Amino acid sequence: MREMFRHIRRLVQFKSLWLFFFFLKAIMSVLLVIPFFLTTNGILSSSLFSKGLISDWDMSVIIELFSGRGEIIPVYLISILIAAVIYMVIMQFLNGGLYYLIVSGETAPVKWNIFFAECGVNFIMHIKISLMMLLIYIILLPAGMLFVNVLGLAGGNLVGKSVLMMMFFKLGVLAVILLAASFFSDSIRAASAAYPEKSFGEVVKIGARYFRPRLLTLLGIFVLTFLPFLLVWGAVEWLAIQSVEIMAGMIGIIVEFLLFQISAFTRTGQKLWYLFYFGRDFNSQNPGRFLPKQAELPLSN
Amino acid sequence: MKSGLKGLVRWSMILLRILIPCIFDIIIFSQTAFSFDTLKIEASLDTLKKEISGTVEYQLPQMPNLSSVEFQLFPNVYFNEDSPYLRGKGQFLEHFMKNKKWAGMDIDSILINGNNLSAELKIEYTRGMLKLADSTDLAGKISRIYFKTRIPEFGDRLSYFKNEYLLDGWFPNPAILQSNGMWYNPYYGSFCELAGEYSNYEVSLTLPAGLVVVAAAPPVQAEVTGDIAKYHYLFGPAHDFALAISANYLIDSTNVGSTVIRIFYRDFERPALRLVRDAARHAYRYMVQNVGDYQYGYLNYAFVDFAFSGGLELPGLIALSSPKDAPMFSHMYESMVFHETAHQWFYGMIGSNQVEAPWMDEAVSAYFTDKIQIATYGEKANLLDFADFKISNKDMYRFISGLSGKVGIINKPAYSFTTQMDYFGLMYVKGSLVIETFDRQLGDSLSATFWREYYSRFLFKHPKPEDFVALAAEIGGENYRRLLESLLNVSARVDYSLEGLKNRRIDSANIEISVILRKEGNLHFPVRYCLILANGDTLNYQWNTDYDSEEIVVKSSQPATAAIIDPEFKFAVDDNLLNNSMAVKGDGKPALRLSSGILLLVESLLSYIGGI
Repeated sequence: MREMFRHIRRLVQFKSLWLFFFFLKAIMSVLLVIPFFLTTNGILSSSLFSKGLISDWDMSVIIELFSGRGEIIPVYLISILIAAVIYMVIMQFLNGGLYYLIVSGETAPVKWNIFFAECGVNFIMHIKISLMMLLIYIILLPAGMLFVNVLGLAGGNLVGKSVLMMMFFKLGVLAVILLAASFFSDSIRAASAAYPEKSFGEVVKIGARYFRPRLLTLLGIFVLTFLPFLLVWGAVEWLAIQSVEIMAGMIGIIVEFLLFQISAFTRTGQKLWYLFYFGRDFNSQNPGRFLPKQAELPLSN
Repeated sequence: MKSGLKGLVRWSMILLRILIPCIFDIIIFSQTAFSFDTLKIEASLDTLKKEISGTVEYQLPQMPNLSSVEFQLFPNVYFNEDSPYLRGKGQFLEHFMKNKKWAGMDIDSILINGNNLSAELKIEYTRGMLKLADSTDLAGKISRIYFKTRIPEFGDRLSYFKNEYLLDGWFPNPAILQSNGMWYNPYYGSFCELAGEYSNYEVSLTLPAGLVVVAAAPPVQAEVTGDIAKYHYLFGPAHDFALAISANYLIDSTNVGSTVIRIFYRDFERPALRLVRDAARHAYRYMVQNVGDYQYGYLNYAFVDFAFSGGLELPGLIALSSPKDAPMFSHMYESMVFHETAHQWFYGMIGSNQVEAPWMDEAVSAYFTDKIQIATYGEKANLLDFADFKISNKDMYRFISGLSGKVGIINKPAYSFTTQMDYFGLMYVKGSLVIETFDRQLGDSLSATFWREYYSRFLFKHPKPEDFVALAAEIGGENYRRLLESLLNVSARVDYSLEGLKNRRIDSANIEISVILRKEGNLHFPVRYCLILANGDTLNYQWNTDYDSEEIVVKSSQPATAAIIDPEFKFAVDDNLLNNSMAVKGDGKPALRLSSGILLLVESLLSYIGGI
């Protein structure tokens, strides 16, 4: 546990990396949202009916907006899908540098030339890993759904709020299944960083060997790093609602926007925090090319 | 002396024989002042074979030259894969086809005044027809039908699941004899519900002991002999007599006014009791206060295991799908209770024909659902209020209307629909907005008069769409006839909008305000619009909508900051409420806030996809 919290310090040391990944995500999202803003502003700005949206998430405005312009929904969904694919490809490029950094145990500041060089070297390997993971997710998701539905049958006589609790429990089980897949992905990516000379099959084997005995530990670590994020997210949500209510108008909206961005920034930090711990642990088991050179002692006659 | 005493006793007996049924009738049917024919049903439920069989006896109407008899065999909607009823119910059809266990009703024989006329009986789908020679006069004769119903597994209104039963349309129900002497025997296509004539019911039911039977009223007589129980029910006037049966039912009973509300639940459904009880009371009170008295002594709710989520209205009995599928952090389940309770008025006691004009019960009940929802939980967020997300029943209606009920004629039969979404979108949602438009145009005072008059005029009768429209014209004037006829019979998008708002200074003291009003659709009904001036004053006007658009020019000392057409949203069918108002100076804040929220959603999505 103490080890875990020690890695928060690394998060602060690598703040440039943190900011880099946050801004990448934010810029991609802003590019996607600008056309949405321009379209909706054209519809909402002159209408008095839309004013309800300033003080709370008035669904009647949102419903009027989308039911009146139903044709724009598929356009937005396709745009989001395209942006998600582009972002995923960019991330496969950046994963080379990111996993190099976390497994090598390099200290701050980030040496960006090395970072990007590693990005280029491992790009194809990360694309391969992503394609394989895509296949795994395609299999896991329906299989997981089937499993949680079987759980649902067990709770068939529940009513009311207990059903809601059961639903959250089922979601939790599904999340664990998907998280396990993501830990597997992390393990292979880390193996590719430690053993760049090895083939895809060998890298998968090294990753799988590391992943199997540590699944529960990694799950525990992930939950530990995720809880503070959840707290921040909850606090941000609450503060955002308060800010809009108390500071009516533009100031409230700006404060809410900043709070939302804090939430997005924290989410990036959470994953980096987890990865710092994970990278160190992986290195201790599979140092690969990061094995410290043995000191050569001069032989005395 | 002895013979005198004998005579007195004899006369006393005759008098008693006459008086007892009268007293009985007065006691049982004292709440109504109507006289109806009686349907005598004797039936027994075979829980092993999943069959219910018995006889139905009734006196044929006193219609001169009546030479034919028709009755309904509703269970035949589950007869085979060609059933028009199952065509729109894919999940049931699939189930029946997979299991090859079809259901239906067999008629063993039909006797008229004791004569077996089964050879003359013709059965087509759900229609039983006995046509005799024209010279035959069947008026006032006694018809006795021997039937056997095979109950489907996983049906909708007639079904069993394990050892629990929902029985609706389980006996041969007389068709409706119209004033022209023709029988009306409904065509049960997709989305149709049972339609029947009002009768009093005398029902004797034999079934294994240990099963709890839910009927519209408790039995007047119950005998248990060994493993067999026999119940005798008296109920009416009603156009149907349905039952829900389970060995696991417990009863929760409360009084509201002179009515007993009974909820039949299984032990695991106990947590939902309070919610259903409160919702039932709210709905009952609202309907009594705003429409008319509930005519029966009991209002029953029974949780059943449907093959779908929802509720089912039956006279005096409401079947609710078990709340195990309805997480109660919203008021969605209460909304269903409100809706089905409203049906006790608009379907149960005012017997509009769901098969031919489903809007008369579904749209009207959906509208009253919204009214009860507002009266109980307020105008805003009456469906859900979670993390600052506020959703009202009206929001949901408008959302669904936008998806599926934008265009289409409201006044059309249930069997003319092809998809559930279309039926729901038009009949429930768009229909509700149509009724709301009509009701809000009437205004509070005339609206109260309309619904009370509609109730008292058509209590235990079968109003048709033209009756509804005629009453609207009688109470509101001819304008309302035109309004309703347009709303119900014409498929067109309705949209009132503002297309321009300008201020032009004409001299040092006056400003010319010009506003362009536009309407889409075929409604010819005056609409209110207003101008909001810079000093906060509001100028109210009325647009007669003679043309599709019109430029209005007003002189004022103050410039206008905004204009609104239909500011009270009285035209609930208006397809787009965002264009009902226009401000001179735009405000980017709503779009900015919405985009800020969407930005966070997209960022979160990218986080999960990209892993960071």
